[in-house]
Amino acid sequence: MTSPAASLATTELGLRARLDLPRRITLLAAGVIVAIVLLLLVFITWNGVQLFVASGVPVAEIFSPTWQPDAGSGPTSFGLLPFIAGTLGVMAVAAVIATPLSVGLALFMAEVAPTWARRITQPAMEVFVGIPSVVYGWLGLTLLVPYLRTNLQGLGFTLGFSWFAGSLVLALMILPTITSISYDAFLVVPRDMRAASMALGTTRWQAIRHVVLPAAATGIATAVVMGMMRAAGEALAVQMVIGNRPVMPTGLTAPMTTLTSQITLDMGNTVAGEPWNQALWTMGLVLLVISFTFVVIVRRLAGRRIAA
Amino acid sequence: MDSKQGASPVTTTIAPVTVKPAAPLPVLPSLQPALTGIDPHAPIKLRARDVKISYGARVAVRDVTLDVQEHSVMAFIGPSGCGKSTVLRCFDRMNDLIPDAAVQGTIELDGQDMYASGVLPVEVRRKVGLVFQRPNPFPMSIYENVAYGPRRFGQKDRARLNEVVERSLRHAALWDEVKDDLRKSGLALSGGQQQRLCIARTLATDPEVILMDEPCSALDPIATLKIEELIAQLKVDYTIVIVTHNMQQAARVSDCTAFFTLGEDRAGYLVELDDTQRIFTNPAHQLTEDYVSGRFG
Repeated sequence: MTSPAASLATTELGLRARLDLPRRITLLAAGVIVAIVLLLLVFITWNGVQLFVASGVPVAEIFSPTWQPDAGSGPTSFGLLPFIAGTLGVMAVAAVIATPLSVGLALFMAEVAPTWARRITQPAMEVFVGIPSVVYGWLGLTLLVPYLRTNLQGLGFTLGFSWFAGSLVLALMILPTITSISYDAFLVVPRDMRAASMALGTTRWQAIRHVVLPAAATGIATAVVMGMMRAAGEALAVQMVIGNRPVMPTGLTAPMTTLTSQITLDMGNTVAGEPWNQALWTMGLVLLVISFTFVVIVRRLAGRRIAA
Repeated sequence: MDSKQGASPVTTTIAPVTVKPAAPLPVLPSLQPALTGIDPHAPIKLRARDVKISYGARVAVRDVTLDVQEHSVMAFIGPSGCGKSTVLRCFDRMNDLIPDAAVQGTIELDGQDMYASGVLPVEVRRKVGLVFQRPNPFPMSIYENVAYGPRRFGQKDRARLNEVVERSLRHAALWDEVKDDLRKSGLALSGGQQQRLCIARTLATDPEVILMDEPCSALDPIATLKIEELIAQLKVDYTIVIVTHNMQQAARVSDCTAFFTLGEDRAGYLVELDDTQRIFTNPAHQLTEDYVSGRFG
């Protein structure tokens, strides 16, 4: 008969090894992800700052509104301002279009819709999310742009390709994002709050307007920021309808361009190490900074929500 | 829309209205408040006759006939699931918010049928306040919580609002504790203070009846005592109906007590209604006797 202490020790060893394995696997997975993100950050930042440190292009020129990267057609200028302004502009207008629609839809789903209507709207939202961006772009290119050109030329849509077309397509794409996040924000407002308001003798709309909406405000703000984040990163659909003219945005009816669409357009034309190529990396870095800013905003909003 | 038995589920949010024949309503023999010192000739504030409440095909509570006298406190007691809260919420038309709830019978407030076709639930709820089981202040300041009702009803004058807020908070015995930080969030208060804030919020809308649905079940004994003292004070100006699981509480705060229980058919019903003292000392019904002496429920 073996001593009980020894046998206990051996099982414990075996057990410890078995307990350790899942821990190691998850740790490895977490480590790989963190490493990839860090490497990406370092790589993009390194390449992104080359335009400033190695190309010899003056900083004032980088923040100028003139983009003429091709040495073959005259003196070059690597002004990135049109792309930054374009991205922010197209994103802001998309949010302005999408927010009222999305919040309204979320409010309908959370507060008004009977069960059968919710059974339709919820899967519809999921399908919406699943449509690939190229399809949105294609629809914009074949339906929206010709429509603007032929029917609304009087408003200034000479080509159809425009800031407005880009924003409208983007608005459609970020609609499900804003809707589903604000829907969740409405759901976490306790049921009792609405009942408390209505028990005082207010109407349902007053309960929604004065209790539910304020209580869900930070959640809605988070939803809008997440939507704008998605809008900033979208390349393909926007590129197909915006006109890709590398100038400062002049108006909703005129063509312009964005950081993402310029990168996709130019990436095949450049040689590594030349300023044009370095400028594209810098655009990538700017996108990274934009999305980083949004992440910080979202996290601060989330912090406020917990504190409230 | 008349008194046909609601075997088929009613799916509208508006409860069917029973139009009663104009015959005089029967006087309840059991209600002779000789022991409590309530004026037996005091007007009847709330009057329920043969009330039956169902959710779809399921009857939740039936045979509820009772009178609540003005400036009195009536307690509803009984085991869980016997429909006390359901009946209470009917007095505020809050069951209208539940999609398949239907109310049959008549409920009158000051002699007016509150389920008559021309009556808006919103108007009923302005006259009848409801305090919930869990304190549920709005996520806004103490001041805004109390000013909420008056503001919604169109009061914009700052001085009047200040006055209403102070009066309501004083009336709810909370003023002295919060007068220096009315800007603080209502959610930052303790549970008992939150419940008194909810009472103040109700008082600010100037109701005539206050319904309380187990208002102390989430509170500690000291906070409970404060609410009970408050109820005794509020009785002077309001008519109160309180649902409670705590029989000592019913004995302490109420003038009349209604005992509900669950029937063979799984529907709750009103067993007995009498002066509180008699319910607890010499009830007419064996079921009541068993319940108040702790033999069941």
